[in-house]
Amino acid sequence: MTFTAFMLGVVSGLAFASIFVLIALSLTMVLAASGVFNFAQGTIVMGGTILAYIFAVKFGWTPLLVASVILGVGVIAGLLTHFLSVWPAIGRAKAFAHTTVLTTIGLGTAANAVIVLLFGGESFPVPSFVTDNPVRLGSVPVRPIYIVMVLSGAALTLVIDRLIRGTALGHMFRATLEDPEGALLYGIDTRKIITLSFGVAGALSAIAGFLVAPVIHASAFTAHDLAFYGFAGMAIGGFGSFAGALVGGVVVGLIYGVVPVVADPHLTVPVMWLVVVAVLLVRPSGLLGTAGLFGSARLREV
Amino acid sequence: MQHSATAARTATASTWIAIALILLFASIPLVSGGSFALSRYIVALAYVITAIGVNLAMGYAGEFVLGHPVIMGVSAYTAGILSARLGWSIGATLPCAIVTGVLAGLLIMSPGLRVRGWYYSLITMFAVLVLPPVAMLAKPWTGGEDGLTGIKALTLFGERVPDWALFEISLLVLAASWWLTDNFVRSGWGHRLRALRDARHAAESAGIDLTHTRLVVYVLSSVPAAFAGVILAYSTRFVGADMFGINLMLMFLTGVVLGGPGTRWGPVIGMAPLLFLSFWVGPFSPYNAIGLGVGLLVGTLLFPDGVMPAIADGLLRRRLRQAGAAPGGNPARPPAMAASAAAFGEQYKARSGSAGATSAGQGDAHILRASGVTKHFGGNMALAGVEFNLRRGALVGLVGPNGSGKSTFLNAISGFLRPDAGSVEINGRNTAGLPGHLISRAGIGRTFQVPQLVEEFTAIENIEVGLVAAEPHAIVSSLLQLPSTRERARARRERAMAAFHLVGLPDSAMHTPASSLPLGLKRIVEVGRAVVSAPRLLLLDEPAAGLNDAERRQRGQLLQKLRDLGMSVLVVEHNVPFMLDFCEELVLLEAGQVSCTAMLDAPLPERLVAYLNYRPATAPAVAPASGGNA
Repeated sequence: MTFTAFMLGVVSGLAFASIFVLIALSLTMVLAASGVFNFAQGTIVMGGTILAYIFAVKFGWTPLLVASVILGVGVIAGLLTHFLSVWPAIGRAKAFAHTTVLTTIGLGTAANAVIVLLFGGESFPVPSFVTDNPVRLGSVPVRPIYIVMVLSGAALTLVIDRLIRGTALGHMFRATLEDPEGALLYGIDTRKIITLSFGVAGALSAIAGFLVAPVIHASAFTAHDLAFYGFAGMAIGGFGSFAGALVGGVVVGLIYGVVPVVADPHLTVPVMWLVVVAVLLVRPSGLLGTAGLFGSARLREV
Repeated sequence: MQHSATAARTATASTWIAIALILLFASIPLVSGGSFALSRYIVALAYVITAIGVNLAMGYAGEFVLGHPVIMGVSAYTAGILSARLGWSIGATLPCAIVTGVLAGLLIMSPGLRVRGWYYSLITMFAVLVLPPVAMLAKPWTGGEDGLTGIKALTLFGERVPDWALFEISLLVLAASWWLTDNFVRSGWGHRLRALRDARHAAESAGIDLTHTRLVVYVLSSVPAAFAGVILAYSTRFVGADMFGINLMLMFLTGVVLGGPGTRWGPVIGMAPLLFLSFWVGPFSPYNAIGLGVGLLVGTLLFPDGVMPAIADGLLRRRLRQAGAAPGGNPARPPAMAASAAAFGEQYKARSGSAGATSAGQGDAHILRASGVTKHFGGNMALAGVEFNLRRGALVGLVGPNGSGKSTFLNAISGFLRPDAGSVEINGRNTAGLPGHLISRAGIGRTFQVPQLVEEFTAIENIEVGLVAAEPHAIVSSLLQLPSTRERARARRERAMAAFHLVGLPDSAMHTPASSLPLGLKRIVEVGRAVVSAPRLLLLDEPAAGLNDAERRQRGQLLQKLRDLGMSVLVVEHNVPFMLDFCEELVLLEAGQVSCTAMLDAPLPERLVAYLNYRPATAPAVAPASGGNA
């Protein structure tokens, strides 16, 4: 194995990392706002890849149009998840976090199967939205789509960070994350904030699917893997932590990119699972999991 | 005792239903249409066998494990590879497959020793994604994507086992799994498991080793799945990684959740409709996944505790309404009660006396010596060097403003928090840094601010939780419900009864589930659980919170009764009259340090008076009470 081959692994790993960061971030956002681990998010990401195929290849829309429509569909899908599987459990379930992980697993798998029925079980390539002629970074040829993935992932992460830190909406959001009861007393409609978090997370997930479609193809069978990578990123980096989602997403991306280059590609998922188990056994709250989301101090009971 | 008679009748009825069902299913091969149908039934049996193990972990122990398909897969591959590649016979493949299956189970469930809740469910669930690539990596052995073929037909005693016999064997394994699991959860292990699920801290404070309990659960929960894997391997004589995918995981999860986790019939009843669906539309059909997913979603939302318990609950409520309409009410307390409470006193004196004579710290006038106990939470110094000694046989109150570290101190000496610095000696033994269950065994009983009870258990069963840690593990005996296990249960009940009467619980509470007891009674049940093992030191966290005056007086008298038996009692409480009336000494904790200690039969120091807001105007009202007490 040459250095170039290794670097190719690193580069594709970083490209995937930017997608996994988005998935981990959207999981984290919902989790911190409402205490729900939304398993159906993996299905939304997968839905994003399939819509990218349908809109871009079948309908021939421009990438920008495809992205905006997918963004809208993602918001709707996030809200649907909320209203079907989480809303009915609010105030009723004895163990809310526990109940909602079951309902979102149920909804996610059922929705996944519906997509299999509608779209079929085949896998279709989605063309890159940019040229496929590699750009050379030193001796390493890099697919331009990777650069698009990294730049868009980084931009979206920054936008979310700005939104949360800089705006009045963001302050309300943070108050809800920090202390839902306290926020309620200040007149913040926490249910609305939770609903909003599902919408934003749905949009992020769907866009992650759109961005990753050209490199993993559109297939209805990727949802569980994508959910796993997002979860792994969150678990490794740190539960409920923004920086953790970033770090964890990058670690998962690098494993995903480098393992197939240096060893058997089939080792990727087992290695990643073992890394997650090892991290959790040593540091149950993840590498950066001491603080809550966006610097909030409160860590919800897992 | 009418209740236990009813319970016994229900248990017998249950056994007869089980036997009738087994006989009914055993006759299936007589009417089934050929070996194809039979092999499907065998697969169904294997799934239900696994679900029984899932229910043990998920339902009874509250360990939300979703990785059982992997255990089945590993044991199926082991049996298959040993048979197909090495030509081993069942006598050798079966034990190997069970061992590898259980090892896989331990690996998958190991994060449960550190992480909890849905986090744990997901990490075990994603283990299902690991099996197919591992099968690909071991392609020369497993056959990779083509699957493993060439498994020899099952032979026993030199004869080939026909399909109907394999069916009957599988049914036997199913019946055995059900019976053994049911025995297990009705033994003292049932108390451990449910306490692990509902009242972790209480279990630890009762001396139950949670890690050990979890490991036992992990192994016992894996064994049925490992058997199921072997059955699958020999029944289909083919093993492929996609047989053990997410859909199978979803079937176990949905089946156990719908059937009612932690109920004896739950896994059987919950799995039945799912198996029909799966065979009707095909296990790999999207319609199967849709059915399972929607079933899980709707079932969880409509019946958070499971469909079967919801139905049973409805029936029970109707029966209770009918019973309540009948005239009568509670009979007078039987005279046995007083005798029972006295028996506890004698037992207590005998136990603590004999134990005390051999213990090293017997000569020490103090049961508890804490020195320089310090605990930080980040930048917050919760305990800043607490110096505190508790005399043997004293009833001492610990007071202080909110956030002064009272509960933290209790947690630090009982092992729920590890002090950053300082020494804690209990009964002459250095216990600083020991885990909670070991400190408890040194002779500490405690209660919690928020009562920690097993909701489905009655008051008496909750008190019994305080006793199981001292019993031998006796796993095999518990699985088989041997006479020794029954004898232990009888002795446990007797001691719990004595404690039940000692703490003054009303007889009506004896067979009421803890979930429907009022908060005041829940607190007494906790006291009962704390004292039943005859501890030397009792730590009570706000035992009088939320009580009215009469109840509070009763509670105070109970504490004095316990003290008179010889227990040393440390009470944390905000209610000042309660503390002044019943304690003999008050300790004031401020900003993580003991700022003042005072006997209540002497004039109170300025500092304590200031805290208690003890103005001279009210002095005459309080002074006689405290004087009379001392």
